[in-house]
Amino acid sequence: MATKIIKGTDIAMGIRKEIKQQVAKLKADKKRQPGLAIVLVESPRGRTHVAQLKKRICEAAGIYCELHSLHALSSQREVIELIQKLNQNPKITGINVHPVPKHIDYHDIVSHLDPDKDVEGVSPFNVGNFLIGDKRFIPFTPRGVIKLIESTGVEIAGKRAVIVGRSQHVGLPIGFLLLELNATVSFAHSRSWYLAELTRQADILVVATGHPEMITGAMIKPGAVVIDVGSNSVGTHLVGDVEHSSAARVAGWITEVPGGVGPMTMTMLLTNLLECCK
Amino acid sequence: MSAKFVYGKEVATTIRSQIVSELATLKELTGGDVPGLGVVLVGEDPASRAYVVGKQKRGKVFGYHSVVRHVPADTKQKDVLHLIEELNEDDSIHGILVQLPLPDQIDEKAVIDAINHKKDVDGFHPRNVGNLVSGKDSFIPCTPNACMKILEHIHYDLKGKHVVVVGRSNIVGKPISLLMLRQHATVTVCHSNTPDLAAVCREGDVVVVAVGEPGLITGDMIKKNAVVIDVGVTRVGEKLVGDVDVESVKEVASYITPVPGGVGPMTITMLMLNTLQAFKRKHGLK
Repeated sequence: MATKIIKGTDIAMGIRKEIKQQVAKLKADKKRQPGLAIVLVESPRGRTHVAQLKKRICEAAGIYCELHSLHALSSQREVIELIQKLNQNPKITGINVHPVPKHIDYHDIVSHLDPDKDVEGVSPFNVGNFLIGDKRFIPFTPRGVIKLIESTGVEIAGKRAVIVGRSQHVGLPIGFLLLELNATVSFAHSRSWYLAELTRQADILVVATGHPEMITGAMIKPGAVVIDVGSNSVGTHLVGDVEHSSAARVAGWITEVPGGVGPMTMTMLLTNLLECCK
Repeated sequence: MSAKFVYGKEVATTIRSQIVSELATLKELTGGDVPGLGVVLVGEDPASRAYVVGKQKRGKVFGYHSVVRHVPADTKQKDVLHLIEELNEDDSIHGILVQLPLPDQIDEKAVIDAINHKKDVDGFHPRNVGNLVSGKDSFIPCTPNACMKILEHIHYDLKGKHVVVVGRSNIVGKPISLLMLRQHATVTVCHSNTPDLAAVCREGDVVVVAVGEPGLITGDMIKKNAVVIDVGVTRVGEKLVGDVDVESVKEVASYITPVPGGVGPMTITMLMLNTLQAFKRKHGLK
């Protein structure tokens, strides 16, 4: 059986088109418009680029977007004050806080988000509610990953899913979503013994470790659905956490890097924004 | 070979003596203040009443300040919320516990969400659950915490080991998985939709079972020398039984927690520990 590529970009574009129509309809029928505020504490490398891209994608879908760029040396207090202001602003229906410099406590910052505007589902209140089954805001990447798995038409219930990587905003929520969908879920990580034995049992394998090409074809069960969340710069190009050339010879379905999970993450931001405005 | 039994009572005794010695120091540091626990009990369910009495007794032994708000089964939700509000504002109360289950007219989640998360010693409030996910200061729910203490007691190093958790409930299966991951174990969560439960269980160096199905786990499902923690409690006639078939499992496992006498007797001590934690945090002590 030939490996099929999960076309993240195509799926994402399809969803964005639908969102654009729904946003237009919301504006026409209910005179409401989703509004996003991106909070960015400037860091010297690259972050502004991602925020600018988000803003463009939002605007292309008819969503209002403000970019709040704070100086790299801003204090914890200044960031919190900005969030409190945005919590009060009726034009803003969702707030997205970008990764912050080391001197700022991200966990503390996001615990000040109005839970109803926490579009990424990162405030402790929403993270807790997510775990106990209230899926009001599902973090972008996990939501995108589930959509990609569902796009293959492979049944999730009763399958063995293995998640490599246990980060709070990616690995863990993906695992708990698959658990909710009745998969048997294994959480593995860099300290797992016999990792290859475990991954070879996976009908669904999700890799999010940030270690370039650590999962090779020999570690994959023939026919498995493989989702590569990693995105690592190696020299001049981007590679995932899965060694694509060997994996693609074994897997049933596989994503590409770039063009797999990445575009879905951006798209799920739009989906969540639309939902919190409804 | 026959497995060793791990008795919760023994593990709890060690922890209780730690609490007692810490309390002596804290009393001095805080100028005579003592930890306070407020319990809300709705209705006359005999099991719930027995639990509450047990909690109160244990608290008295430690010299905790203890308050029980017992209201009739037909109490309205808003009146229960009002009780919570009072306990939230009471400075002599550091921990609040609502005895579950609640009667049908009351929305359990609304009541738990109303507890000040800094006093939520059961660890059920979403903010505490969220903090547990992020590894921040939270209250660890009593049963999962008891399981971790049992592993500590037998000096079990979880790093790299494979833990199989059977059952995915919010109060046991999910939090235990998070705690095991935090100790660098690999964790697999199984449930009623897992097709070949025996095969998955056999992968486990540690198997934690929290389902409520007597005899579900038998010896042929356990890897040699695995540690088996039985959280299940089901009443069969006059007896309490666990999810593990002890007769066959003890031939294969290295350790088993029996039911009754294993995890169960520890949960109240865990609650006391969390109340102490809440008390210390309120006084700005670690």
